[in-house]
Amino acid sequence: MNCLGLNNLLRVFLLIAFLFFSERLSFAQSFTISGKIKSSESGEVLQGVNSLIENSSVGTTSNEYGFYSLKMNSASGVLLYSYLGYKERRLEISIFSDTTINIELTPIAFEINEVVISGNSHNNIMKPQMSLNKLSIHTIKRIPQVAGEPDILKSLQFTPGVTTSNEGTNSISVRGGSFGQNLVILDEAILLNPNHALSLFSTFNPDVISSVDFYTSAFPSKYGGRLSSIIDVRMKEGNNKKYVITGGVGLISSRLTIEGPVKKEKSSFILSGRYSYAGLIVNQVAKLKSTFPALKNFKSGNEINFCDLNGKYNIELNKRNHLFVSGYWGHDHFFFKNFSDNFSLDWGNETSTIRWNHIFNPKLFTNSTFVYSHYYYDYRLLKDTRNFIWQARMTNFQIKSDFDFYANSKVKLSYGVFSGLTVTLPGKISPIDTTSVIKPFSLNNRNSMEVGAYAEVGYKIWAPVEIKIGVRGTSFSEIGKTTIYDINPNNGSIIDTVHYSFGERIKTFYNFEPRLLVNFILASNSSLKLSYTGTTQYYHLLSNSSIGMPTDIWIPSGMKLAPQESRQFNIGFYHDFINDKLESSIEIYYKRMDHIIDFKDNADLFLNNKIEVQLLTGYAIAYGSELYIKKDYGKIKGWISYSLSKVTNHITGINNNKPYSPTYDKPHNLKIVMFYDISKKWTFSSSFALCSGSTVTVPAGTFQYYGASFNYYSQRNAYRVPAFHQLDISISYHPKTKKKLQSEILLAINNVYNRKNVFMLYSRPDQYSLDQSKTYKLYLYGIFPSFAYNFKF
Amino acid sequence: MLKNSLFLLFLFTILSSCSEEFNIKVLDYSDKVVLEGAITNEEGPYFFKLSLSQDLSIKKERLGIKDAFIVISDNIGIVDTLKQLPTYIQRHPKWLYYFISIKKYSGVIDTIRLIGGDTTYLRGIYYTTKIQGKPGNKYSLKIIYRNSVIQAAEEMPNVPVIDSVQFREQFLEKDGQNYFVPFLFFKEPKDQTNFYMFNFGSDNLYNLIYGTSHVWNFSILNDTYLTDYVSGFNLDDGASPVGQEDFFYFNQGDKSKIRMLSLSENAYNYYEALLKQFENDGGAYSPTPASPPTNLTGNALGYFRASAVSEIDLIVK
Repeated sequence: MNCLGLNNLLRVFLLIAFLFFSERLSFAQSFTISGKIKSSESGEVLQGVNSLIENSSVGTTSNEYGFYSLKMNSASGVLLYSYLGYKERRLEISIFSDTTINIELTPIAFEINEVVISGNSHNNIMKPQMSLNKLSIHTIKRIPQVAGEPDILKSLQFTPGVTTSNEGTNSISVRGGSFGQNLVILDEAILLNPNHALSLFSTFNPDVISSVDFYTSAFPSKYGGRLSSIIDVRMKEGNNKKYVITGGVGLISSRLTIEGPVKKEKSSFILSGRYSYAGLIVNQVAKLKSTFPALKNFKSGNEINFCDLNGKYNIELNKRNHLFVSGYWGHDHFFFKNFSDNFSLDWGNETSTIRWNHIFNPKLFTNSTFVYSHYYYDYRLLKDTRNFIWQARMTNFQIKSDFDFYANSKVKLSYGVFSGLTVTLPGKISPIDTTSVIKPFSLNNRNSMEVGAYAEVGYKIWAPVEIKIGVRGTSFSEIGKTTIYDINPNNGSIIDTVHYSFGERIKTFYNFEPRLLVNFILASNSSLKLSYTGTTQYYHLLSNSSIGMPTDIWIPSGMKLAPQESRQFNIGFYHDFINDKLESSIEIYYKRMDHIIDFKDNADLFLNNKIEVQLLTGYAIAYGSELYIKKDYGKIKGWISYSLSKVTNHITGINNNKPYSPTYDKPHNLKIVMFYDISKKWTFSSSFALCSGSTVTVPAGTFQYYGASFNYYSQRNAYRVPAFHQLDISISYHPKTKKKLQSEILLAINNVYNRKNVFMLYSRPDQYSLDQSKTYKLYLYGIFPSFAYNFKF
Repeated sequence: MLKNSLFLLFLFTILSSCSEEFNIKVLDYSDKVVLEGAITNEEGPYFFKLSLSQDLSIKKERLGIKDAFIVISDNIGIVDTLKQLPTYIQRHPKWLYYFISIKKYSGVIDTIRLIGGDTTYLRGIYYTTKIQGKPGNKYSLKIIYRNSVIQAAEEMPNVPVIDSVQFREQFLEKDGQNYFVPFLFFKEPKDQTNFYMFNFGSDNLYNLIYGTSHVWNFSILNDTYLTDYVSGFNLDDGASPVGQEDFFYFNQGDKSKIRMLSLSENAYNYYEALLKQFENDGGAYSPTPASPPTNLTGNALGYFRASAVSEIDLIVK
């Protein structure tokens, strides 16, 4: 693998060199136009803006820092800048040398009568990228959500290829991959647990997010480390022209954001907080116990809350240098007396990112990043003589540099180097006080180091054909300080124990991930796209449940666990129709994932130093097709997504060695989202979901043991729960005020026709007669109305 | 470790969620033999019960298996063929309750009071005639029932002596009263992992016949993280499908017995799996449910346990 990888890598570099120099020879006289594209309203950079020289095939797209660069082969011409939701700009230019053109685009106010834009830019056809869904925060905020809480991860569930084993949660599965195979990054920092409150809400505060890029295949080479998807979330930079305060009050949480210039048009900040008071609501319920006798045993004094703090500061140091510093801190606290006042659970993420943009020359843009990310949980056992605290920690540092090189009008090269260090304390317990009968115990650390490089070249072979070819090479080592046990797999006994000192390499893997994307433009409104995506995942999420828990922890590949690998083939047909007002696509994929993990029956994960003995590995095969039709223009906007898919896991030791469906295998998955702008004051949104039920493991029968009825099981996930379907609507009223204040009153109704969808099925002894086993279904909510108030001034 | 039911309750409260009974159609059900019972180091006879498993939907009466052949042998050469408990019952001449008489190995007669005169509950109960439980000995079981053969082997681990029990007064939120809660003191053997079970006699013949009340009074303990001398261990009271206080509590003047039993690692895992079923959520926030890992062969259910017993009398003063 190693030798093969290097060889191929060399070939790719030779190809790149060839492309680069061949172009150089053919065009002797030309100039480069480069610059940054920003919003005229906030001064924030715009990513993905098309810039095009009229009547030529020369065009480009701004990168994530708003930088663009294109080559002009004549001294004068017309430059066109277009971006969805913004007014198109035309610029007549005459240039005699390389020129910097920084440009501002003006957003189209959400006014109904205004003649709407330039028309379709055919991004979906012209750009090679496939399997990418860009969700704007505006769209995310319009999808009706429970308790009026806009949620990024829930919104992604309306896009093709996404299922979840338990509807209503954020544990998303993409094209047959588990939720531990999604790379969730916030300003380039990996979020190790992107969820609050038992995965019912995501950690993203919608007021501080600018965009989400969601890839289900054809990952650009700069991304790696997870098999199934990339969820690249970017924070706003903060308005550098004026102070803006945004906020909202909802049923579960409230939020407040302040942003503004530090030095006008040079530097700005954004600071945002969100606080959830779920516990307060629970305690209010407890106060009703004098009125409702049914609540007489309901206890108050519960503490359930979560909070997020986001902050970002950016400064344009000079024309060539720009610095961004951003941070996130989120924390959950869970102490729920009504079941047990015996424990409390705290967990949270902390991330910070420092980025430095540097423009070397009009063709070469670079960004260097330092990332720190930390995840922790504390489980406290209270009111018990075992009185202990159980903790785990995981810290990740990354340093990387990414380069965008605009070689000429046909070739764009992206390359970079990266390195990371991850330190994990998988678990330790310590007594809380002297009455505890527990002695301190700690699992061995699991540390790793990664270095790697990638290169990707985008090349327009000729006008209708563009290819993107890339490679990502990584070297990953599990390192000390730790102790590794050699385990007898039959009885779990320790055969040998080896100690490693800090930094000492235990096992190293080399991997080579090829990426290929080809776009054949068949007509101005249709194209055919092909891709191949190879990915490697070195970290395994040890989650032994279908939703996941805050106590799930990641462990690195090493002596006992090979990295997970996936290969995905993907073909897509993209077509725009009805005056190009509708964008559509059909994608068909086949994906094989190797070295995936699952757990033995009755696996014991608690403080287990021999955790690998509890795991079984195998492969999964996923395939499917996805239809997507989207309308981005007019009074009625929205999309329809339908996926037909199948995934099976093949793991020796599970389900009597027969293939089985993971819980998120849902063959049919239909999602419809519609937004209707009724008037300037009123807007309406609705969403409808219809998908196959998830697969669950149900008892094969029951038996009595000392008076209680217990279940026994035979086949894994052999029962499919009834289909899920739900209609959600929301209506917003934007009262007209003379002052600067803009406000929105939102009424959302989730589950309009009160369907009792299965959230989970479980069997346990009956509470009145232990000798009967009963199966119950839990549904999350019936018809669920909620209000929210949002403001901005 | 985490209480999954807690999360269900959280969902109830936050999202007005609800649960209701649900009927599952099971595809391929076939009867399996279930074994209950244990060898201990107390005086015999030891009792075992054989019954059949049940379909999820059919609510038939669970009857014991009458015509099985059971042999238990040990590593010192004793082979004991078990006898069926006679269904002959007696009635107390004065108080008119029904009872059965059990003759101990020593010849002492024990009586077990019955609920009513229905003898069908006594079906499927077998008892040993001579084999004696001793810590460190190995026991083998063989059951022949119709065409199937079920086997198991288990060693009886040691159990420490309970040095003392202390009562501490604790306030219970459920009714706002103070109760007495027992704390155990015992010395833990070093350099080996030990597994224990606690019960208040829930594994006796009466419970084998009639089952338990609304709490399944078995709790287990793994000594991996315990201090060498355990000074004041608060007993878990077992499991129940309804949220309860998690420990035993007494009023002043109460009398009871605490039994601490040794378990093999396998047996510990078995009971752990059973206890987890009380918190089963179908795999949403907990592992995918699986059959408890028994030591019985032949697709049988239940467990062949061998436990040493350490017992202490409680009088709450």
